[in-house]
Amino acid sequence: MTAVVVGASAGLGRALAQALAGAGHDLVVAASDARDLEPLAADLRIRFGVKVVAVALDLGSDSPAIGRLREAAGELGGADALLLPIGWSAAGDGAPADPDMAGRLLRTNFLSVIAVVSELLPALRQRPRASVVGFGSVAAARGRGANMVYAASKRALQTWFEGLRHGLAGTSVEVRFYVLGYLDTSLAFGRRTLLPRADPARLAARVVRDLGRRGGLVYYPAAWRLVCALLPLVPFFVFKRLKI
Amino acid sequence: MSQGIARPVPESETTCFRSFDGGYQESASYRRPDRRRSLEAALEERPVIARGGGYSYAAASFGAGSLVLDMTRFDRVLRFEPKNRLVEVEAGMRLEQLLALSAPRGLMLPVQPGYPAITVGGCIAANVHGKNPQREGTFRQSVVNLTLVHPRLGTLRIDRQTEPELFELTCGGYGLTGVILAATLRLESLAGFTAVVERLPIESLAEALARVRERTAGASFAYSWHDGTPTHGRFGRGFVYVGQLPEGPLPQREWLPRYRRLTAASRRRFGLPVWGRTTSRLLCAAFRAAEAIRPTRVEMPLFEAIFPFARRGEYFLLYGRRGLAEYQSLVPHEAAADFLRELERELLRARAPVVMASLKLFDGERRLLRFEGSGVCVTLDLVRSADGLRFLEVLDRLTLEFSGVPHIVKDSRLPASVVARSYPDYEEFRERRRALDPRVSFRSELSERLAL
Repeated sequence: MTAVVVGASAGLGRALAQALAGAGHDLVVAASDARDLEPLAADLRIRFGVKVVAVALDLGSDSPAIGRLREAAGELGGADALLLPIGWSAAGDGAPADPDMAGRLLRTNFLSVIAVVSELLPALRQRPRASVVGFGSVAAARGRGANMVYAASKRALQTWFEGLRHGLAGTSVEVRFYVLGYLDTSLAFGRRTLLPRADPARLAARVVRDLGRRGGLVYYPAAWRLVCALLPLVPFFVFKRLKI
Repeated sequence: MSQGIARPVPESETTCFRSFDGGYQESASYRRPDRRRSLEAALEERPVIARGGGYSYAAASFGAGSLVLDMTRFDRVLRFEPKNRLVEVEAGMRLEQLLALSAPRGLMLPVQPGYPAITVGGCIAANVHGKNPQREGTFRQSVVNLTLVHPRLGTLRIDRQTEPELFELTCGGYGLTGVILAATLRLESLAGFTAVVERLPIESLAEALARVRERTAGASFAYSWHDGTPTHGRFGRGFVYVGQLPEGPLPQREWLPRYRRLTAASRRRFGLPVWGRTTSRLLCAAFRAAEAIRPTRVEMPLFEAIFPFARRGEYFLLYGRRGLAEYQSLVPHEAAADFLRELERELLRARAPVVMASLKLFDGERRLLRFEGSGVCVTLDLVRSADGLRFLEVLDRLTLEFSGVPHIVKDSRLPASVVARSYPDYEEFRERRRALDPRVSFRSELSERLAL
């Protein structure tokens, strides 16, 4: 099997790339900085003996060269799985917000995912079985005065993946979406978190295990399903007092 | 993933760092960069100090108000050429990972300190030694080239030819010359994955020295272990261990053994110190008795022979919250016998709370602030009590008297005066480091204490 991991150089993306390579899958790994991708690609080739093609892409730019992902997947015989562990947050994501920052956040977390999936979908549909895996955030459960554009981009993404799953029902492409709580990556580093941070390697093992199974919506860690169900029910006069 | 525009100033966490011996602690902000961009952003702060596994007994990777850069996310293999016996790895790679990677190809690092979670970057910065420094020298002999990140000089790939001064200063430079990002290391061939260890009972330090001298040349390693408690007015009962690595089957693929990893923080789990004069006597006697009924030649997995403390972490836990005191002194051959005689006399006189002692041999040149040279390495582990700490000063005095050098990363208390008097190149190291880093971008408690 060949998998494409976009956002592979650090955090969950790196854990996914390692788990996939550990399971013997060839990989296309993409991230913004070639200086991070080359060490990753070399490490996976040497340790796991798999083929790895690295693609440096700036997903926050106006027109990232997404076509290169398709070409790279083609070099490895075509992709069977597309994983998009992309999550960028920025300081100053409140109100008022810098429109450049907001645009960049939306392009990175939301629009680029649509572009990448759209670019690779025709080829994925040719495969006997294929998967598209997206990653959202519990921050989307209810809007707060912090991380506003980030949370909005993740809610948009979740809705788009709902639509994608519906649209691809009955085809060979399974769509799965993970709503993530805090992980022990640089995104949560240095922040006080409501629940303990989960190990990205364990999540990655789970994601790899789930590939090819029936799609759907998964909360990870699972306790967040309850939190995300209850949070919208909290009356606003209480919610506004919560320090979360 | 972080995108094109500069990521906002990455968050730092604050935590209390401790030297592994428990002797020094300080709260510090730290970051764990996982990309080149976040590493470079961190280097815009000043001062900083890189941290690997955090196993230095001294506060070498934190302190003095420095931002701590946890380098353990930089732990990838960059290049592996089994035929040329070369491997290039990032500095945060732990020794166990490197052994797991190289062993199936019949290769391993020639110099490995006793704990598997120590990182390659830490090995270079402290220029550590392994089980047989007489044969293998110290860690720097395995280093072919280095990638160093420096706020003023940028990213540099250096070796003995291109940048001999900087290369020499970085090996055993305590992280004060830049952040070590990657290194190419020369491996040696590994015939099998089992060690055969022969045990010889000995009655005194002098006898141990004679045996170790006799056996080191023909063995993979030879060292002595001594019961730290005197019996019948004599000190030094114990064993000499002589190890060989015979041919045998190698692991088929990358593998990682399981053990409970100890850190400087988790070492303190046991609140009360168990080691004391009476318990040391009892436990050492029990250990000697247990060893005496085992066969004199035992086979053990290579991992255990290289990393004896991976499965004997309890030894450190038993020192309790206040920690242990270790002293390691490298005494020239010609002074060794007198040093040991004087040491025994002082030990008996002061009734120092020693738990164990050990001897092994070194060969090499004494340069800069590296724990290296030709002679006998004497290690003592003591209870970190007032008596124990007082005895460290006696050891300072003996080391100076017999022209030895103390190991800088083994003692969180070691005063600058002792280092300045014992290491002939102390001033040179200091001047060269200051010339390289005039704004003091890199600083730790160790560098401040030793006035580097």
